[in-house]
Amino acid sequence: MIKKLMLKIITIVGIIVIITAIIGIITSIYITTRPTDKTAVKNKITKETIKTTEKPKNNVYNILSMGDSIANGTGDETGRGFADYYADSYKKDTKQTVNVNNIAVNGDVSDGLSQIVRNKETSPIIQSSNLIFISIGGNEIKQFATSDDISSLAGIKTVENHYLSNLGNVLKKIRSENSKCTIVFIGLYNPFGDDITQDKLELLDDWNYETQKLVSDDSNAVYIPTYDLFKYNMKKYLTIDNFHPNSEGYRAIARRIGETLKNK
Amino acid sequence: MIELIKLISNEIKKIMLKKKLLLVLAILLVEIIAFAYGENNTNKKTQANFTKSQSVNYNWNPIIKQQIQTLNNKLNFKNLKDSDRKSIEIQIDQYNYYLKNNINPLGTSAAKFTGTLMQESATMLLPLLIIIFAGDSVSGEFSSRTIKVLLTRAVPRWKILMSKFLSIIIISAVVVVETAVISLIVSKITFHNWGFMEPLATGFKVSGGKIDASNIMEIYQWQYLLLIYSLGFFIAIVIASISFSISIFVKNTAASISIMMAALIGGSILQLFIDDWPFAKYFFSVNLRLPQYLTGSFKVVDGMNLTFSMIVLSVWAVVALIAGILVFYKQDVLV
Repeated sequence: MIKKLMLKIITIVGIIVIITAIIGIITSIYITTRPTDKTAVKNKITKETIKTTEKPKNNVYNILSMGDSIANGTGDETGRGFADYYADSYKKDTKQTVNVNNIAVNGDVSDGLSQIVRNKETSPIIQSSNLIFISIGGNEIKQFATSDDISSLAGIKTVENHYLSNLGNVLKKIRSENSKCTIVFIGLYNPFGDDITQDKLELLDDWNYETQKLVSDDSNAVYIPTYDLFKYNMKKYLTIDNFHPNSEGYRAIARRIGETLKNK
Repeated sequence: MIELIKLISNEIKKIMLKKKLLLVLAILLVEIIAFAYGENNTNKKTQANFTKSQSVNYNWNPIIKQQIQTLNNKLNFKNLKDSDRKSIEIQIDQYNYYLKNNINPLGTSAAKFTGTLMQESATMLLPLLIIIFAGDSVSGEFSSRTIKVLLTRAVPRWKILMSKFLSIIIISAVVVVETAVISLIVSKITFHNWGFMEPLATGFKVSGGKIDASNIMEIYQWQYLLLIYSLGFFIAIVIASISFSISIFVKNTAASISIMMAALIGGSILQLFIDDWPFAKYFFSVNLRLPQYLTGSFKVVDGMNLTFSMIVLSVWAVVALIAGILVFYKQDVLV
């Protein structure tokens, strides 16, 4: 008796499933192949990369952001970054159209940046830019800040020299493409707070100092320090990963840049 | 006709006698409980991490924005494979749609879990469960020497085959329903909410190697579940046909099951080369990932879409069945 009942249930379930499945399969095919509905919501992919290739014009102000994740805006909950915030404030005082190009790569080091700058695809963007933001070096020094190995600290001088020569090349390359643009270099802050030792802080200071000296060689380039900006505002300015700035932090950097370039 | 129905019910009785449905039930129960527990654990951890570091209430909005940003950054890498680039673009589109329409894609619910389960098991778990039934359908008769008794009846051979095949199709339907029901019950207990009426974005099209996201549409979870499980049933039929034919060829249950498993695993390995070797897309086990075409989270390969995959699978199933029937008709049964 139970067996007969089971048999009946199984058959009925089977038939229902077959009918439902046929309808479902037809619907699935329809969904994936139906003709484009013009009234449907259009969601365009927002790509902020490489859009403008035209030469600088008076009515367009092109901002280029390159380097590592800080230049990219990683950590900003709103997905923007200091370049966008600066552009916002710049827009208020000008009638020009402001464009932001972001070619920064997360986790990049100075080697990568100098490669990107030498890239053929990059040079039209550099040529058309009025203002270039650079942030680099954080990923190189990060490994020293977190390692406890004293012997590795000896290697930092080599890394630093390599970094400085890379940065020098990057600046030279930019100048050979575009002699008029303003270059803004964003200095490094200390994301580790009191967790790192004094000698490592000195390394960071030295790194920032050498960078600033190099950047100052160019008459139309400026070094923006962020070390002081973050020192007492870590809780407020850093995002979930306690390494990258959050929206507030990026806004603070943008404000500082705005202050520096106010009367240029 | 009545003869055929009797044969089918006889076959179903045989399957039930072997207690295989109970075995499948046990497998499903164990695996689904493990999955649900894992999912629940990960989810709780993410939430705890978030509240700890942000000192605000858990909110999906910034997480999705952050996710989009990360994906955008990934797109900037030069050495990204073309297919990966496209699947990232679809994902970004999907997230943007969720943000725009205020749909929370991160929450957990029974419906969502059950849908994901079928998505993930379409290539391995579900086919394996089907093989348990289909793999020894004919070869089992050989190894237990009952084939002689079966064939001495005054019933044409094709009817015997037909009844065997149809009974497997019906059992496959039961397996698919079983999966859904167990998953719904287990995940309802784990996540506490059904979530059938939650909206979800689907409707991605690949045309000319590009993603067409212009006609994303919103459907409810329960509709989506029906669609996904229908596709699951289709996969079950295809696997049943192929596995059924193999069990005719080799007359040995163990061999027929291992051939099918090798094909399934081979397919998932082939998937890795599909970018460089387009011919691989004509292999059946590469096309088993049917639900992915609805979710939009797929690896884009030129010319592969739901219709293509279903045609490839159907051709494999039909060819396998015809070959199986021909062999069964011609062969001498000497047991």
